[in-house]
Amino acid sequence: MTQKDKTKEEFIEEIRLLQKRIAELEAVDTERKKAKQVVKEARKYAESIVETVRGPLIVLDAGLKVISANHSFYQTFKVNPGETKGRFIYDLGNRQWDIPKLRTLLEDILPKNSAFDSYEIEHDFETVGPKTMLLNARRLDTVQMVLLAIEDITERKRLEEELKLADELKSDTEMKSKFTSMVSHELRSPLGVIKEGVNFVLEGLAGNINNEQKDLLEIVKRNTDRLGRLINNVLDFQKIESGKMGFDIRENDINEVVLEVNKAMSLLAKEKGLDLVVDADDSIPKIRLDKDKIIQVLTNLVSNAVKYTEKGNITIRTKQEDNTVHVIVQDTGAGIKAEDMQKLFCAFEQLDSTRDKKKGGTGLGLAISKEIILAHKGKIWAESEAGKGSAFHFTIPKKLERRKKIGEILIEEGKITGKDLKKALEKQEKQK
Amino acid sequence: MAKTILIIDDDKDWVRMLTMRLEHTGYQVEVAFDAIQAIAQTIDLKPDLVLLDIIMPAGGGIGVLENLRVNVKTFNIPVIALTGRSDKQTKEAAEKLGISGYFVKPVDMDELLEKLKEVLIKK
Repeated sequence: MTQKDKTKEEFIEEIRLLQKRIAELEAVDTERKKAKQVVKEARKYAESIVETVRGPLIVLDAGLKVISANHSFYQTFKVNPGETKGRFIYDLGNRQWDIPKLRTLLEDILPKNSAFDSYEIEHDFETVGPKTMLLNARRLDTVQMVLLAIEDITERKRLEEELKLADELKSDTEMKSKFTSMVSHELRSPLGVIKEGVNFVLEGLAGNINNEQKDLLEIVKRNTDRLGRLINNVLDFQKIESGKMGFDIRENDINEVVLEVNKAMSLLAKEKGLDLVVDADDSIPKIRLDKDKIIQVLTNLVSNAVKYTEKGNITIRTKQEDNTVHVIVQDTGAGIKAEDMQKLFCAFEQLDSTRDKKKGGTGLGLAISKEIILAHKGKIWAESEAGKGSAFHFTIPKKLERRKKIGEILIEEGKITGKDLKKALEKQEKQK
Repeated sequence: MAKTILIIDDDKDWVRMLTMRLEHTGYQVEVAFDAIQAIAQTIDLKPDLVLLDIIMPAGGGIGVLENLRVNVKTFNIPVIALTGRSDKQTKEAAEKLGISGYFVKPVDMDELLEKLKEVLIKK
């Protein structure tokens, strides 16, 4: 059959079929266009989510090359978009991201599990320094992508460490002060018993004793007293170190303090053939100080003077100066070598240890004296030359600075004016 | 008539020393070594004064002091604290409950005897 043989009807049918075909194709095309649009919108939606998320986010293709990263990522890791898109994740920032742990996540873990959360990576980046990060990773098979969400927990970890240290320090300090009160009780109780027992026998209350027994017991008594002083010194020092020493500040006459110490120490000085002299300035007014503590300081200085002086005298001098009261303990002893002057007020330092084996002591006396004087906002120092005796000085201010009120401080710092303060006070009064 | 002193302390050696010294001074001395004995003895004997160690392991001395103060039979017996504890909190807690003296061990015996004389004369 030839073309001519086809009937008109057959032609129309063919055309109709063709038209149908064209319509179908057009429909598909529209659908496709629509789908493309949907995909476009979906992609836009995803991208805006990625950009809005506050943590660093990075999207990789199946070959671990960067498809995109969000603003937060660029900011946090200081890389720029130009160097990021299309690059291998490990190449980023000049191979800074070539991290073994990251490889493990992306190449071992993720292929086996499509999702893995809270994966911790610590890494010292060249540009941004050491960072600790938590990663959430997702493998999206349908679109052949890998999503990485990163949380920078460097700061948080640092704070956790600091808190832990602070806790440890606190329990350390608590333990130290528990140690101190326990030691104080445990060491002192037996000491008290020994003292009493010895005294009793020495007084002849447990029967008559001969001279030799008396001598021996005197030695025991002396050493018990010494032990007591050593324990007190160590505990004092502990208290000062931990800031737990309390001060009882009242108006006191410094010359009274000097007389008390003189009375207590004169026997000791006499036994060694030394003269203990007092040269007091009567015009000194009463000043604010902790009497017991200053007695402690002066006793320490005088007993050191007695210890290190073989012949001559020890003078305690008091004088008044413009703003302070000045006390000097002068001796005619062997003096202190220049190189030893530095160590004087340091804890546990004793000079000339060969000589000192007999002298005993913990090397804490001067350190404690220094802390006490400093607490009074005073100064303590020594002047000495080898072979020329020593003079130990301390000063206490006549007027302890009274605590400033908040208003005064603010005016001084220029934060408010006197007028403002006055107005504020008046307002406060009205409101009462 | 000799005044009676009750010593409450768990350190037996120390109690022996203190007893010797007090008896030699002319006092009548009784002892209690723990909190339970302490309260029972105080009620029974009605001593003129109590020497109390604030720190005792089972039932610290502060507890004994509290008990003595709330008991109508013992509340006005003077108590002097003798203790190895020198910390402020313990001292304040004891002073709050009312004590006639506070001595830290090792005790200056002369001072203690002075204080005893002082407190007992007031009675």
